[in-house]
This record gives sequence, C-alpha cells and structure tokens, in this order.
Amino acid sequence: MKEHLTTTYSQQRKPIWYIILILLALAFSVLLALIVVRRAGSIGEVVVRFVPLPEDPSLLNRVPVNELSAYQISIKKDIAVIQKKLHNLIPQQPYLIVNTTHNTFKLMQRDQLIREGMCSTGSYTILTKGDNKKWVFETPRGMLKVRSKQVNPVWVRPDWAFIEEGLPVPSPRHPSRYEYGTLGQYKLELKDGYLIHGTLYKRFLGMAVTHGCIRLGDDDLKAVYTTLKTGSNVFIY
Amino acid sequence: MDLSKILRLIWNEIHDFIIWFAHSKPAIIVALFLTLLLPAYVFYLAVVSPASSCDHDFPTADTTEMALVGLDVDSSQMILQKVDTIWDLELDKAYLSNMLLLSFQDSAYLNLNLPDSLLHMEIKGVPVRECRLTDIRVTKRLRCLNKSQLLQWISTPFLGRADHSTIPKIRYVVKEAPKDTSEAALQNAGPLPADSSSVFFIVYFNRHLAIEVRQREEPYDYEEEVLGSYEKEIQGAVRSKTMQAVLAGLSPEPEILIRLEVSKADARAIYRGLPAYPGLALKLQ
Repeated sequence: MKEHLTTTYSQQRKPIWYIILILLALAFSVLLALIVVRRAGSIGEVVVRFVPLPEDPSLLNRVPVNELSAYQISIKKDIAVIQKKLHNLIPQQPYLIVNTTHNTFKLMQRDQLIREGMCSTGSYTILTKGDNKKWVFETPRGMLKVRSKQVNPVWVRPDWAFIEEGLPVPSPRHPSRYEYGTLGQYKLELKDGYLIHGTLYKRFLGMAVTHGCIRLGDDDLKAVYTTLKTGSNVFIY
Repeated sequence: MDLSKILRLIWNEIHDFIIWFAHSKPAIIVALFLTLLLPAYVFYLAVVSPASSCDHDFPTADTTEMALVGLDVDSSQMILQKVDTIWDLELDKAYLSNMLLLSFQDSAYLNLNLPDSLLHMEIKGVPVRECRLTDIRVTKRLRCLNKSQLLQWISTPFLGRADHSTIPKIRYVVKEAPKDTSEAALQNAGPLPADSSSVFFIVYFNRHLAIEVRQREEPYDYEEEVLGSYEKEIQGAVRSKTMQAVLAGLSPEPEILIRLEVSKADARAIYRGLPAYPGLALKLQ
C-alpha cells in the first residue's frame, strides 16, 4: 500500500509545490510578524483611533450629586492656595539668572527683566597634576545666594592659578598671590570661593573660559552689584 | 541495528509524512492557518493589546447611571458637565501640586504646559528658561485613558530615568599641568569654539512617558550620520522592548511619547541645564 502510494504521488509531482507553498507562507508570516514588531508604535497610533473614548464616571462614586457644587468650590480654593504658594516662590528681591550653556545672564525683579547681557562661566576644564591632584573648572548650578559684596576686591590667587601657568606654587601669604584689579571694580561672593566679578578679558564674554566664577562686563557688573543685595538669589543653569 | 538503518527508518517516516501532508487538503489548510496565525498573534500582542490596555479598575458607566437615577435628562446632562469641570479642576490641581513638590528639590526641573505651548525649566519655582513650543505631537494612546486614569497618571511628578541625545551633556576638556611657562603658553591657546551642532534629545520618564525635544532649525548636512544613529538608537530601543515582550508572550508596555519642537538654543540650554534624572510637571489640558 505504502509503495503504491509513493509511486502514485511521485508520478503526480505535486508534493514539492505544497511544501514550497507552506514554506513561503511561513516566511511571509515571519516577515509580517517582524514588520509588525518594527512598526508596532506607528500601527498602534492608527489602531488607537478606533478605540472608543472611555466614559468617565468615577467621580460620582466619591462625591454625592448634591455635594458636587461644594466640592467644586473646595477644589477651586485648594488651587488658589497652591497658586499663591507658587507665586511666593518668586523672590521679592531682585535676582540673577545665569545660563552657563550660552554664557548669558538676566537680572530680574519678580517677572520683570531689568537687564540682560553676556557673561563668562566655567570652562569645564579638568586640570590634573600628577596622579593625585585635580581641579574641575565648572560653575556650580542651582540656587545660590549672594553671601557678601565688596568694592575694589583683591584676588588671592589659589594654587591652580600658578600650576596652570607652569609656575611654582608660593607659600599661602606670599605677595605674588595678591592681584589688584583682576576682578574688576566689584565682587559678589556666592559660595566656596565662587564669585561674580569683572574681567580684564572682555573679548571672552559670552564664552566658557572661567575657573568657575561668573565674569561680567564693567557696566553689567555695576548694575548687578547695585541691584543685588546680600542674600539675593542667583539661579544658575 | 546500525545507525544508517535507524536514519533510513526515520527518513522514511518523514518522507511518508510529507507525502501524506502534501496530499491532505485539510492538513494544508490547517498548516496555512496556523502559519498565518503568527503575525496575527504578534499584531494582537504588539499593537491591539497596548492600544486598549488601560487598566479598567475604575467604576464602569453603570455607576453614573445609578447615581443619576430619578433625575430628568437635563439635570443629568448638567451634572455630567459639572463632573467634567471638576475633573479638569482636579487635573489642574494635580499639575500645580506637582510644580510645588518639584520646587522643593535643588536641581532644575521641567514644567510642560501643553495647552499654552510652553516648556519651562525651573529652579526652586523660578522659571529660568521659558521656551515657546512651535510644534507638539502627543501620542494618540493617551485617548484610551479616561480623566480619572489621567489624574492617576499625572498625580505625582514624573521622574526621568534615562536620556539619549545628539550632544553630550557636558564637554569636559582634560588638561595636564604644564611643566613650565612656555608649555603653559602653548596650552592656553584660548577658549573652545561654541558648539553649534544640532540638538535632538529624548528623556525617558517613569510611567511610560517619553519626552522628545527636537530643534526647529534644519540640521546641517554633515550631521546626517549623528542624527541617523540617534534615530536608530531610539527606534531600536522601542523595537527591542517590543520584541522581548512579544517573545515572552506579553504585550509591550505602551509608551506615551510627547514630541516637542523648540529653537536650537532652547533645546541646547534645556538639555545641558537639566540634571541626569530630571523631574517633570505635566499639564495636558
């Protein structure tokens, strides 16, 4: 019987086509599945259009119908309270916003712009000496406060200022550490030695060149110095 | 019995099966059906199921009908309108609460207001960068969430978990201390030129939210490769997630993608200004 079947089927020469058909269908099927996986996002966006909009009744489960108006008023009150709190977050005193990406600043009073211009901020340079000494020249970000203000400040050069210039580091109170005029006419101290000050290199305003301080042009520095008080906020991003 | 005989026996069995199969129309039809079932199954898992996979653990429409029993049609309509207004107020309240919560953190965060087409970067509640959105595209998957689900979705601030971008977050330059003044003079050649490369980035937040920010300006021709690899990477991530889920017989988690277009300067300032894991307050309507 088996031999008979084999002979008959072989003579017909059909089986191979059916097998090829199944294999082709399988290949097509896998391909289609892969396309679906690849384009699931965009196909999904089309499919979603046909999903009916959901009903939204659950509020009545929490709030009885006769209390809806009172509930609405209470939410409005809550919103007003939050809005007031948010409004109070804007400083009453003038404040400074510094953009370290584009090296610009904005001097603000509430939501009014008082002055804007260019500044210089940290260069994102990492200075290394040997294996164990490293300085990162970047401007700190976030909300800082003006801790102190000074007219005609003297710059006490830190160790890195000598190392960067290939000079030997002098003792802490050595006269070569004191530089007059480098910081401009005013300085505002922010934290840990980070300052807002003037610059001799005005051509670098608008560029990231400092060791972490914020440098301003003379007129801008004067405006910032006279407008900001000790305790004023400086927002750096 | 030696191995060749066993192999021959097996081959004969397979051959017989193929012969039988090829001449059995019902078998071929079943096989074709099963074969074509694969893409249909994948389509259901990867497309249909995520599109309708809102967790319906909320009361159904019957609750409203029960609550409105005894009221005339006009009253019912009025109540439903009021309910809708209250939902909008609750969504507003959630958004404002999120802004307040985020203002307690020290680093910068995002405040995305879609109805007003505004993206703010804020620090301690103070907007430090305000960007006007010139184009907004929101995935239509959001349609399958009702307002109570939306409220649950946005009830707390979103938190960024990862990002991908065409520009580095920070460009550090490492400099070895010069040995003497002449070497120092060579090193201090001046500042690096400003980075003008195109800015496209995506931030993946929790709860399946992804915010993509694209610059409005056309990218330069020579940036094709960078942009190509950026697109490839973000699409590849989605595909591999879908593939893994489908292979595991699960529906991939639906991603809510919001694509924003801003100026190049805004895109750069925002990407560089944001911390690695930024917070986000979202206003949808």
